[in-house]
Amino acid sequence: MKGEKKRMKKALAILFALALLVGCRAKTEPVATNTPATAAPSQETVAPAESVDEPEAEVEAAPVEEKDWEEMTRDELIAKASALPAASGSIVRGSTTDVDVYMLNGWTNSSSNADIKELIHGGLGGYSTIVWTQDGRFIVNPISVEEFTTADNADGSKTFTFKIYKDLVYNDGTAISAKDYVFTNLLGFSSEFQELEGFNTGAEMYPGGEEYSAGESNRLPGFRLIDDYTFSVTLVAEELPNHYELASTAVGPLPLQVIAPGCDVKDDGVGTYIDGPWSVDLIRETLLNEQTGYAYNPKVTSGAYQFDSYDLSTKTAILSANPKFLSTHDGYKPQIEKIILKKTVSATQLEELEAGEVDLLDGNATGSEIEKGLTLVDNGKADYFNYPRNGFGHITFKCDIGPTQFAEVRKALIYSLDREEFAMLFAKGYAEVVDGYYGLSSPEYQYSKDEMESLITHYTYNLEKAEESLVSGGWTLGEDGSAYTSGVRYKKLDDGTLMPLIIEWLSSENNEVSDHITTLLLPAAESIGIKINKTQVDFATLLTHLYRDGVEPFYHMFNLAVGFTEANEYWYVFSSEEEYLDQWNSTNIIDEELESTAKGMKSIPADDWESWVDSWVKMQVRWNELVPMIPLYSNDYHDFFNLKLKGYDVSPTWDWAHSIIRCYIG
Amino acid sequence: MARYILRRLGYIVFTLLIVSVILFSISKIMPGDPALMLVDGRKLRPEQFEIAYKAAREKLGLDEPVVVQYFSWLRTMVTGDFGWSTVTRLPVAQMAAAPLGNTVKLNIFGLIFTFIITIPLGIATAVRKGKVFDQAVQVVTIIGYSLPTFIFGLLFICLFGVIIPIFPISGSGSIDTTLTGWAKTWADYRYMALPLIVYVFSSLGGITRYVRAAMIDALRMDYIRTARAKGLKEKVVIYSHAFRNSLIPFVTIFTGWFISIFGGSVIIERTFNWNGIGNVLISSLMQQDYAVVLAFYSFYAVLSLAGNLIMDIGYCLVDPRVRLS
Repeated sequence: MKGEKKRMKKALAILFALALLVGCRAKTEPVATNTPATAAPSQETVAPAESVDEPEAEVEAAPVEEKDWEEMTRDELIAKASALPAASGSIVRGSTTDVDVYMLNGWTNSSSNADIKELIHGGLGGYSTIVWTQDGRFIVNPISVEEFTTADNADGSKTFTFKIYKDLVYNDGTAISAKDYVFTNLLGFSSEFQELEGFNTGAEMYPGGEEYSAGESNRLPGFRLIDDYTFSVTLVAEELPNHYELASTAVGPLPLQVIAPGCDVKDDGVGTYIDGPWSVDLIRETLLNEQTGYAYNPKVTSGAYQFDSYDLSTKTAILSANPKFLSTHDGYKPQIEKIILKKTVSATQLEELEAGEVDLLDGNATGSEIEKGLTLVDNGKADYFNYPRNGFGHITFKCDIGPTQFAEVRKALIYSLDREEFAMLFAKGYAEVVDGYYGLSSPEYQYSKDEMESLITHYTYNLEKAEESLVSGGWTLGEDGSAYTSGVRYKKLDDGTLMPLIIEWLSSENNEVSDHITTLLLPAAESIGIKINKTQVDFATLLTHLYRDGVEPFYHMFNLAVGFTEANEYWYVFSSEEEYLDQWNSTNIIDEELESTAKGMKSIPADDWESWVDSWVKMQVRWNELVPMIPLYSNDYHDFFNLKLKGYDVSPTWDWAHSIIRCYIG
Repeated sequence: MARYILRRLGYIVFTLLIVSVILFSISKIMPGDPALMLVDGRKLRPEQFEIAYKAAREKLGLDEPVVVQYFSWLRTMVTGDFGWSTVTRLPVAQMAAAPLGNTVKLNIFGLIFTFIITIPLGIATAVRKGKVFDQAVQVVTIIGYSLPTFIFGLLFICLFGVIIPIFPISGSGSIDTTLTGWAKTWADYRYMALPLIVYVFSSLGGITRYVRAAMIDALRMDYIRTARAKGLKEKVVIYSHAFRNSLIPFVTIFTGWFISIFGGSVIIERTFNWNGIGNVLISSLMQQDYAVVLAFYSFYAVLSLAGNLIMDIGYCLVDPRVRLS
């Protein structure tokens, strides 16, 4: 869930990247102060909803801002950060997700490690060229980028040039140059990196990226080194226009001389390349040495926090404030000295919070956890922050095989499930039912809520409508081809054969959602002639069948969840192209209207919010008619934290790892 | 005895080969595709996915015939290379060393405390058979024997973690980086307290009753009556005559328990977030991380076979009437 939340937060922001771009081109200062107000979702839509009970701690926030950060110069932002109290104290953040050994992108992708990487390497913060703001935009980083320009090229590609400030340093005091920024992708996209099982996606977005990534060339023309503090990133014409183009140019620095000692980044006019004793063996030692490897033990970093240690025995990671960190894009630097990330068990983590063994538990979603946490709050032992999820739990149908290939069957099933009751049972009221491919906090939904609600069908529990849908779909026969009376319904197909209304459902083990579906849907469906056969497997096997990886298509129905990211590429999710079916388009829905609407969204400029939302609504309306999934619940997440933690302020797109840099111990 | 041991070692090697074939076959029969698990992140573009997937199959040797895969796996296992975890992307030995260490630490302490408590308790209840003390112990031990471990876990967490907060609720060691030396060791061991208490409490019933039964049988023997008739002190009768003779069945369970030192308890580990090998194994199974599963089940097979040999030798040492041949 946490991972979904993180992905989701990306979704908001990229929408406005182009608007920013235009703004930045018009100004020498890279801060996007002129993003059209209409282009950005309002603060209310992305910040915790009005229903959020603002804890008292929020009121006594850290130093009062006299000026909005977007109106400040870089010096003012750094001065603001410097004026904050020195970092002190520590907090323990608990998560039910393991913290693993990899502290560098390319290997595992645990959400806890993603948070660590965000804090120590910057991610979409720190000294990245592009950063993510709390109100859901991608902007050029005013702390790291001195000048930013763009140029449309004759071949249809587009070049983004960044000049970085000369006073940026890593936590050990070493200067950061443009070479470090370029090196990040020269490393990540290299075939040598892939030989170490490291894998980074996206090389094909940049000219020469595929050849470089495949090891066919040692030049990366998509990244050019102009001088020690200036570099450029070019996006290929095939990726343009692209709603998310600015986000695609985001890159942060990695220490070249630590990861590739003795090597240099050069540009011979064709593209950048690594010069020197660069080899698989070199980076195997510098990245994966069990004791000193940068992937496990990144001691030289540029993010707001630095990596102290990881204990494999206790699976605990410790970070401390980076003393050399200048400022976040909005004028903050860490006020909490240490962050300890430890694994917790969902059954006892709130007891740990009560006992003071953990200080922060974020992303609680189940009703029982939330009620337990709220009891602590009522007893004055903790505080909390809640926010709607940008995703939802659902039943996915395979829309190309068996009875679920027919929309009438899918509609009959959605009418047969009492989703309100389901949400109440599962989340004890801390969730809402949605009727489209969105979460409660989707900015598009928040922006177009009234219009959306008037256009889509709200599928409430109604067995009569379910039966009507089946009848209209031709499911009117019995096993022998005569009129249906009882048992399983049949439909006569075009080839004259009879198809039974038997649905094969693949469910994951030990899953409370599956239990509630079994209780609520199966008997109701059976009463109108739909037989659902349930098979339980482990989650990995479920995915194998969902994505049809080397297995014959057999199952028609799966239950799982989806989370939206900063960048939601609907044009792939609803694509009928064979290469996108099964994996991206896991429902295998093929519908011309849905596909063309989604494909049209790709080229909508990032600043054209109205057009984007119009298309998004149109897409949702069509999706709602086709029902390739049954949306079950969209949770209301609750973060519980120790009373000593002050200034905690999160949203679906601004999680604890962002917020904690702005928090302090009170 | 030496010839016997050599012969048994030969059997062990033969048995291990059969076990290895069975384990490897099961791992191949099980559903799922480890290469797919290795291709992290589903939303790769199709061509990227193909490249990554192909590389993963090559890396795992899955593009070879199954027989070749088996011998390749066997060869690496024999040379001490236990393979590579597809989930953590670390060598199995590296990723499992810390959890195995935690498991062994917990089990050794558990074993020591369990035997320290259960042996005297079993003897005492046998000697006082049918009396109030015996009945009270029977009731307590039957509770420990009957209730699921996680119930104790939650109970002790509530008692010693929340109401009287003297022990940490979960984790495998202290996260306080300011501690060093003995203070650090003591802080680390405090994290073991609750799992250890639960471990010992849930083990009391079985062993106490086992020792009690063995002692009751021994105390009924003619040689005990003879010893008492000779006027020996009751202590001597119990400890030198009855207890020593009750050791023979005890060797069986002791050996079993010794082997179990290397096996983790999934329930205890999950309840207390103790980073042990039981958790690693169950997670590996769920995530189709077969290199880890195969390595550990092979390890357990070796342990079991070696344990049986040790048990037989133990019988010989404890009971002079037993001869190995």
